[in-house]
Amino acid sequence: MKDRLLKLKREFQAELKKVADLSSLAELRNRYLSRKRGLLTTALKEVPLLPPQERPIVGRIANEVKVLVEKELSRRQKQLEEEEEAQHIREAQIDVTLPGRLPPMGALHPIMLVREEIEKIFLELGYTIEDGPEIETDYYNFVALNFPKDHPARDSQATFLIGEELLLRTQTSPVQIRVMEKRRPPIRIIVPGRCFRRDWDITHTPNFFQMEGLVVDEGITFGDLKGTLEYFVRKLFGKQTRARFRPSFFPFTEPSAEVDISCFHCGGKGCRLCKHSGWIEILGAGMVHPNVFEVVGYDPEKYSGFAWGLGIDRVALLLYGVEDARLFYENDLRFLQQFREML
Amino acid sequence: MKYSWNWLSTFVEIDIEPEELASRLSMIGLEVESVRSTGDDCIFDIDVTTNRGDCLSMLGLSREIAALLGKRVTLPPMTYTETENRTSDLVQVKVEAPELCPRYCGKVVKGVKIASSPQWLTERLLAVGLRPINSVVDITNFVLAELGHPLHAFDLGTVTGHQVVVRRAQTRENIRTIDGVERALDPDMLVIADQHRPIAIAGVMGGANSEIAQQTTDIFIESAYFDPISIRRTSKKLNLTSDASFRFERGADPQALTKAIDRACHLFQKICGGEVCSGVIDIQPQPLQPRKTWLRLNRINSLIGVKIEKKRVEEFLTRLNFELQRRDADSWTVTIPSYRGDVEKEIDLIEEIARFYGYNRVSSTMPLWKGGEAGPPTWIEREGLIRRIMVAAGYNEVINYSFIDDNTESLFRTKAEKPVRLQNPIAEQMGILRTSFFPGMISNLAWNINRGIKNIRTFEIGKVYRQVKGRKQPEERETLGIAGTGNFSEHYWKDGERGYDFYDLKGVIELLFHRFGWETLSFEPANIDFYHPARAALIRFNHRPIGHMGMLHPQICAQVEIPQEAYLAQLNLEPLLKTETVLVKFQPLPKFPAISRDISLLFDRGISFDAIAKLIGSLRENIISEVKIYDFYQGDNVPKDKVSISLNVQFRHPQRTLTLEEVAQAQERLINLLKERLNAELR
Repeated sequence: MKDRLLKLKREFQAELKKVADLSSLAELRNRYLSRKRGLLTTALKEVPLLPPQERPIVGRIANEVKVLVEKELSRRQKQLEEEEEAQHIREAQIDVTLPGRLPPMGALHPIMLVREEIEKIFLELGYTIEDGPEIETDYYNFVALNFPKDHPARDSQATFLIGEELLLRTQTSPVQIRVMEKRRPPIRIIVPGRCFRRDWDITHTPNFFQMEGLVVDEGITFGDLKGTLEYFVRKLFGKQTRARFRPSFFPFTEPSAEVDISCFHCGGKGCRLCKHSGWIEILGAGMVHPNVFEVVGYDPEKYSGFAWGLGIDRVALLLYGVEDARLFYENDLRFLQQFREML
Repeated sequence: MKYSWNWLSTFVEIDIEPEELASRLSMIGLEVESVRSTGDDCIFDIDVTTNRGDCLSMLGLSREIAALLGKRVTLPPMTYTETENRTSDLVQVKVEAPELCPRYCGKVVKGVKIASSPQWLTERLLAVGLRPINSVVDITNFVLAELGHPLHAFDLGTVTGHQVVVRRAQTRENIRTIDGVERALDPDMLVIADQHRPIAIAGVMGGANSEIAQQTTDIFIESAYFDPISIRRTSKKLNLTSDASFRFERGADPQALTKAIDRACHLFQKICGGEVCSGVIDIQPQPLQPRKTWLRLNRINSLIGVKIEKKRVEEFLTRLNFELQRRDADSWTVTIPSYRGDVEKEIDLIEEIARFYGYNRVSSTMPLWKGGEAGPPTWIEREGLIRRIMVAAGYNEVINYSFIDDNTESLFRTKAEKPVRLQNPIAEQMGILRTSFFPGMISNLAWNINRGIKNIRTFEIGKVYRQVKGRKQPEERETLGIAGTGNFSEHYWKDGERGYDFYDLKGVIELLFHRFGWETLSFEPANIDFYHPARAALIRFNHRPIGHMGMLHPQICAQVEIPQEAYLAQLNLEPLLKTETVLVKFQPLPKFPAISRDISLLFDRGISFDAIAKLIGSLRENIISEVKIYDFYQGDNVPKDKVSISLNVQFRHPQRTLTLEEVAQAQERLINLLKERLNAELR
């Protein structure tokens, strides 16, 4: 009996070594420990039938073998379970370098991105936003802005005509007049909008966008114009950006200035973008001309103000390094989608 | 305009390098576009603003340089000897239109020899971009470049009756100008005529009939001041500009007339060997008085924002040849030089002071705010939000030109809609302002499809325009356009695909309105020419039509070469920008569970979901909490005249858990109603 038990033990240990998965382990467990026909169970059932003097020794051995078998089985069970778990994990392995699936997001048009960027800067400063008609009268687009009829200053703004008095606005400036006609100072507005000029080349499209600014109150100075625009260009083009003011001529402002910014590409050292001058022309500006105040019935002795304007398309060209303005209106998705992360 | 360093140096001593001069000129408003070194000279190309006609000459620029450097301007030699022959005996001048010609001067030079100009003179002309012609013409051009005043030389031998008449052209009068073109004149135009005929278009171009020729011996030199507006109108009307008209329309110097003649005569005598007749004809019905204005110190300081000393103010202006007289301790009376037509008022003087003080020396400040409106208006916020919703939903923003081809556009507008037409379009196919976004948006689709991009979703926000009966000002309306074509899902690995369809487009429109809490949006089948007749809808908001949507008509698709289904919508954006937002009203969360039932039914083809929903809504069945459509099918296994619709119905009681029997009974009632009223059959 004792030998049979020891033989069972040896056989079990040999078989256990061959077990490679959980189902053969379960089979093995059944073979030895099944309540009805398990080899060990059957052997144990025979112990009480042994002669009394053999019983204690055989009983002890039988018990030892049973404990060993159970222990070995559960050890192996745990081991196999761990292996299986590890296998599952190995199978679940993904390639983290595969590209992510972007949500099917569209893109805002780059001109609108720039428009909103500028709006944000001035809204934070306490400005509000105004707009006006794109089909304007000669009066609002020119005469009220101190561009008399038959004045050469009109030559720089090749105009689309609609009728005797109607035209497509060449600038957002007529909105200055419309706002001042209906409101009293203090005024601080910006005016984004579509404008039209009969120009068509690599940097000009007949349809483009401008942004206009106007501040009118008592005691507004040329220094205020400078401070405001210097703040603006630092916000839009980066902290290092400097502004340079050169005298110029616009009929509706005096003194008038052309504003250059230090090239944000080369930092002013000179590059292709700034045509090796270190400066990029970006804005037209000036103090509101007293004639304009008279037109809207403001007393130029009491109020002063400044106005500025810039081409949004031009800023977008510069900021994003686009080389041809016509790309803005071709609406090629390969172009537009480049701006999708700019939302 | 081009300026020569050497030539400028004959007027003013320039003791700085050309590069520095260029940069300093730019900083006083004379923008130097380029500086080019040519052997022993240096050529400056300067973009002179339209108000500074006085700077369009060597003398003019020298005056600015002299003011900049604190130097004096030296005028060139103007002396000559005169013969006994008197100009006034040889030619009679009558100014019949003094309103267009405030001053007219002239002088006769006899016996000139027409030849080529000496080298020093042709070199000067070439340096500033002028073409040498013959000695007489070259001298008038030389004086123009040098002093800025246009002169014209007539062949006196061709002037009939020894008469020069400054008059308006007569109706149906013609002249052949020296460029060989026959030009029709009208009474708004000023001409120089002899006894019989015009011999020049005043201030614009001379006539071929009185042109200086090889055989010319006696010349009449005209130096006049013409009305700038009249010159500009004539030049525009004839589409003819010249160096002379360019100056005259910017305002010449009325005091420079005789100086220009004197300089020319000096040169004629030196170069052409003529006899200069004595005396000068000078007709000026109302001698021009020196113009004056005033200037207040505190006004300068309060506008510029810096304190500029009185002494400095006087220095800046005196250097620019303004004459200052103290009015009181803090103000002056200022006499304006005759050539500064751009200066009229105090503000113009303040600009001169700021220009020479230096814009960049003014310290920067921020304006102080005192009340007033601030912050973005609602429409701007709404527009930004709408654009972001569209982008998040997968649509790309496009911007198309406002002008468009009339023929293409006419497909998309009703006969009643009258477009706004441009008088001078930049291209024939850009002749009208758009009444519809579709031509632009459709061409965007075609453009991209042609470049291999087939799955496209775009939107555009902008204006449409149209004439309104009885109103001069056309209407402009903020509009939203949406377009989609190709596959709905992006082409990523492991993604399913399906075609973009009507309901994708409809869904995004609904999303926009729901964002603001508006539920009163409805879609009804519509027959609109440019849509597929079976796949188009009119969109109503608060019962008013605000737009339309549908599948682009296959014929139009073929016409514009779009080989796939395309869906488009156009909406009036104004209600979306203006209608007040409805706040979300919180609904208490249900306390009892819902029981969900799927019901598949066959309906007659042509049934609308709207009819089913309305019918169910009319059923007084308070335990039906929601009805959704989850499948819609026509095809195999469904009779041809039928359509299979599967509904998902949620049953719920607000105060207790429903029993299965209750649900079964309600479901039964629902099915019976659909059978009775909509001829449905259970599948």
